[in-house]
Amino acid sequence: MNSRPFAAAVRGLFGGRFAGAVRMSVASVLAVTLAMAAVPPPAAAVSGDAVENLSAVRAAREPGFTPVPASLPAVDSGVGIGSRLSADASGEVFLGSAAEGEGAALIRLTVFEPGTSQTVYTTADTAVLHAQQGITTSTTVLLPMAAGSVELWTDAESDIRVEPLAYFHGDQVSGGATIALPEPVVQADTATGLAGSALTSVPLWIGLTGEGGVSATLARSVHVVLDVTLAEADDVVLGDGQRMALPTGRSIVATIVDAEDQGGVTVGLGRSGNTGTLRATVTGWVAEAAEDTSGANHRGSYVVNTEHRPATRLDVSAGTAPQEVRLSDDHDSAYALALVQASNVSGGDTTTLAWGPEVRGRSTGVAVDQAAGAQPQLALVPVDTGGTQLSIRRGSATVSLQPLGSFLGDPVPHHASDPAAITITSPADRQSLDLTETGYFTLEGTVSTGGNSVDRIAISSPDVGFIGLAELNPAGDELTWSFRALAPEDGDFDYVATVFDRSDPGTARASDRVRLTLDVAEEGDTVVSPEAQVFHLETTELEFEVLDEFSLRFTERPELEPGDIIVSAPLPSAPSGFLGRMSSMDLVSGSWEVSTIEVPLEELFLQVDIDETEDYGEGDDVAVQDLIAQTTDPLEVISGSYTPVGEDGTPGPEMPVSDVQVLDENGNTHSPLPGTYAQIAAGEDVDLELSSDEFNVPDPADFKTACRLPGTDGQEPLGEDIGDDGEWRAPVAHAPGDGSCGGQLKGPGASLSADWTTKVDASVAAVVENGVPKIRTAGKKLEPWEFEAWSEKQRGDEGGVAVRGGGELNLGFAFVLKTKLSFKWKVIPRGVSIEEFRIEFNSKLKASASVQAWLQVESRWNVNLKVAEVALPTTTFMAGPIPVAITNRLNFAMVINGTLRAEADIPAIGIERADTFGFVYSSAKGMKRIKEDTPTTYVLPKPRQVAGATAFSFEGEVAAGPQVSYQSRIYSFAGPDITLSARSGYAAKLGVTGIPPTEAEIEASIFLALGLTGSAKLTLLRWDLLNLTIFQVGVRLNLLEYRDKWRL
Amino acid sequence: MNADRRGSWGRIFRTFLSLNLLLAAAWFGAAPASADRVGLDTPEALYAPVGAVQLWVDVESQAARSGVVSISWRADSSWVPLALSSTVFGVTGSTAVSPGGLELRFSPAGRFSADVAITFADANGIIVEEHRLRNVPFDPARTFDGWITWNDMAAGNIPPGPSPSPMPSPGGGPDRQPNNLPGAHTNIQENHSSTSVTSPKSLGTTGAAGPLLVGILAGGVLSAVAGTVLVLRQRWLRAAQAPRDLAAGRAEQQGETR
Repeated sequence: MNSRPFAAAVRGLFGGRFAGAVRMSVASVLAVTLAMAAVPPPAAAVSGDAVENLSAVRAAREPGFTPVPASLPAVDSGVGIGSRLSADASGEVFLGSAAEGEGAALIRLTVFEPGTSQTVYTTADTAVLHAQQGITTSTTVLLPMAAGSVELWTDAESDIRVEPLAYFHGDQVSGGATIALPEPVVQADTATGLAGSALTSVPLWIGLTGEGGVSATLARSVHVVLDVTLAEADDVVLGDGQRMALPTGRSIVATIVDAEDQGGVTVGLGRSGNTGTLRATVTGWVAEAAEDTSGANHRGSYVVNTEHRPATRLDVSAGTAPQEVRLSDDHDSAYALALVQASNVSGGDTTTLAWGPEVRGRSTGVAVDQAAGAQPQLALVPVDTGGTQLSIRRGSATVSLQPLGSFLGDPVPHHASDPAAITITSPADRQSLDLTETGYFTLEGTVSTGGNSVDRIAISSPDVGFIGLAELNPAGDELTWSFRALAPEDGDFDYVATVFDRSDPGTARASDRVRLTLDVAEEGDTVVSPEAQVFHLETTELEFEVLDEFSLRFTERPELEPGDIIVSAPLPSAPSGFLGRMSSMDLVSGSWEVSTIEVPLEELFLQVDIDETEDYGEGDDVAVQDLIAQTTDPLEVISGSYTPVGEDGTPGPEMPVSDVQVLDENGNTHSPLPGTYAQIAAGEDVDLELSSDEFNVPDPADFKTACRLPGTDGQEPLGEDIGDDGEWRAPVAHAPGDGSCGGQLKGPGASLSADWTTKVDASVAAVVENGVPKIRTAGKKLEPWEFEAWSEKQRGDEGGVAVRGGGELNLGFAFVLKTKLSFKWKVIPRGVSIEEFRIEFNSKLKASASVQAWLQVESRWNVNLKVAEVALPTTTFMAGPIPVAITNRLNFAMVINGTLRAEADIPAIGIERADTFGFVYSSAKGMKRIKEDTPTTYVLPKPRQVAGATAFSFEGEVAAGPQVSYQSRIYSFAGPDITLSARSGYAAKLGVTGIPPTEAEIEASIFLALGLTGSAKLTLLRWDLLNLTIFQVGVRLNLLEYRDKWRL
Repeated sequence: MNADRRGSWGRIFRTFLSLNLLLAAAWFGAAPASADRVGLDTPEALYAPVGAVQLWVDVESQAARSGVVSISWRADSSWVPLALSSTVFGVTGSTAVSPGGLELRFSPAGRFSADVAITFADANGIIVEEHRLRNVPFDPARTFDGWITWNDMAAGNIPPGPSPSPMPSPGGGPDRQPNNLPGAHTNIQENHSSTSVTSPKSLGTTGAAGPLLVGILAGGVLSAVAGTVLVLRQRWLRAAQAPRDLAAGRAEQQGETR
């Protein structure tokens, strides 16, 4: 075939993106229309279901494929075209203005008789060509391009010839689109044990798909560079039938490979006893059109040979008639891609191979060294009706030629003498299928075409008409196809598979039919994807080890394929179980490492009704890690800052506290015991009600509590009040005044069974000594009456504040997942609706604090103590055959802050709350935040003079209380992370009269500093709220404002 | 009587030889003119086509790497030498050109054969026209004032050399035939290919009709057999005649001496 007219036509057709878009639209509309016309329902009217089925068909794009017309090399530095290849690792080679705007290039590199062995590299130090000393060597490799340049350099500056053969700018939506990886991915390296430790006659298995951007399930072929060093000359044999004769020493071969079902290919040597090393790098891939894509192949698509694939050996001699060769399965191929190698060279000349009916022009193409011949390499060959002619320009040689695939050109007229054929291989005709638990079945078959390649395979049924379009999968010597189908109700249904070729998209070429008896899933059935593979459910034997959130290690080769959903019940190495969709597999140091990607829950649970509420019983399996007690460096868990405030109220520089100590009651450094600061309380030890006995208030009459009723003042938002950014602006509101809650707390959270709590206590003093801020923590839990004495010992020269804070919290959560299958005839995107996905936390919280301050100068303090990490037991329940595992962790901190000038003792402040928060999502209503406005019980504080002090003052505010962070995980995936802080606050301005003071007068307010922040990494669900901020709420809830006057 | 018999056998031999040569000439004459010029459009006179801005000249063979001294070209009256680069394929030179007629000439330093390729490319390096001559014989002794032009190569107008000794083949071995057979100028490719005439396919490329080829071969075989017989017979007759001639010669010498 004359390449120039085609090239010009291709340029004309492919030149404009706008034109491409128009063609794409027209093509898709045409295909859809023709599909309907070709497979009408019995009544010859298009059914509503058929229209719905058609609406799921996606427009297909033409792959961007631009063959380069016969040209001088882009670089041929030896004769003055371009520059020598640089030894600079950042070297680039500009391929010309025609390459600009393209994404990738198939280029031939030739190194001529190098003085020493030479290696050429590209991105990520990937070696793509190795020439032994004095041997002219060429190779053809797919490389990514940017601004018309490819990255190339060599280990020693030298002359090089660079011949662009074709450019690509397709994307993975386009069937047959060739895509270069931005960065090559190493998939085998015997030096590191990846895929194996040596290349021998026992084949290594190399994973090819699912990494570096290569689709796990929709890769038609993969471009691979094999860097091989052999002890002795041998054949390297690939699992897809390729055979490469390589010499002793190092060779680098680039080829295109068909990955097997598990996403890899085997590589071995032809002779036993020989050995070598191997490094295999994937540089690109060819996309397969997904199910329901309007066309599987287009002009420019790369199609894999399944018929004309065996290698042939040809003796070629210059001056003799060219050898006829068949390189493509189909006659609509414009260019074939073949693996070519040459040996037995005679004639004494280094030359090149030539394609076509006659040898023309100057030497370009596959280089044939006068001694070594041509190493195995890809050749892009113009073909006409699938064939061409092969010649050698000078001398003679034996050429081994293995056709691999073709880039499509224009379709050719259909010939009845070369008919297409299609067969449904599974399920068998008259078979009965139970779909009640799996939802759908997969229709599979084989197809062969005549002169043209497949345009599409339409699946239809007389009951509905058009159903959908199948996905192709070249597999060895046959082209297979598959389609996921079902029916809207029980019964007998005919399914028809019809193949259309590219010659006439409106004419069915062949069809096959099966009649199936289906028992389909109904509402209420639990339906999980048939892609799910469940592990560790009924066995204690470890089938795999979890390496990290996305990786598993099997000791035996698992029977998994890319796309399978791996589900595991909790196991020792993954207490949260495991869920992931297999993307790739590698053999690493003898073990099979499987990489996965996240699975949207509704892709696993096609139809499910899960409603689980967990309160963890009496907390038997709740584990507390006492962080302060266990740390070796207090700075890891205790932090703070100090800011002096000037007389005029201007804050000075904030000073982080770097001097942190844990001290015993005598002021000596102390190592606290576990349980000092945090522990689990159960049974009678649970105390979520504020009472006088937890404060140093000798006279119970001095201890009073009050209550704020919810919904009375608009100070606290409900979930629906919070904006999409998670924020809520509090109105300026006054405290509603003292009230009575009328007994125990009410509200949704109050229903939580409080049979256990996590209890934390910490006493901390923030002091300034010689201008240096310090934080000291008591080395044990202090009883209320001990705190005053401990505080007195911490008083520094310049002032400080000591706080004894405590908190107690009980937690429960609810997990709701209700999905509904709405498939009728096939699996369609978003065909599973989420009726409800809810994660809701319920907590009961008590926070209390005693404060002693001796600050004669106003200052601002922030102190944060990470007190405890609480691991709640994994909750596991079954959804049909699938184990669902949910874990929650809590992180407790005590947070103290204030800006004040005070010499006073505030023996009791505190709050008591029940909270409910979280989110709920549904397909119909989107996401809603859950947050209630709940009652708050609080202590009425009464300041007093510090024992022994003569002064009595208080101006400013202080707040202290627990901060709890909830981390929820479904399997090992990140769920919502939400932090609730509830600090009991006291703000006052106190005046005294008399020296020493005899009377005090105060204007004060009690408040709750309520913080609710959090986000959810919602990749579990296929909606558009990735990394959603759920809450960003900071509320100062004014509880009570009062004036008081009393005699001291 | 002997003289008559010799004359009769001689006529038979000459007849066979003439017939054979005639058939060979017919065969070579039947070969298309393109057989030496790859591509039916290979011209004897070069013309840079529209769009051509570069001319590339390649002389391809191992021997050409050092065997070509100079290549020069002209579009008007003055010859301009090309800067030559030695490559693994041979030797390469290029120059900027404008559309229109041009001439090329080559100066060999040794005797070798090589392929000569002419390439016209546009400003983007896209090839707009290309030509190739197969196995052109280069020999300093077979030039016109040291030069051989493209026109002469393409037309097969290569001057005969002073010596009939064979031209080295690309592989260093002898060529099968000298390049001075009738019609050889139209069949450079075949004349210098050691394998071309042994392959049925290569024969097929000459364009000669099958029966004619059979006739040629048969004639050749017959000629060879007849020639051999005639030669042997002549030698036998000469051997028989030699004593008589010797005696006669001696008599003549003696007579002259005298």
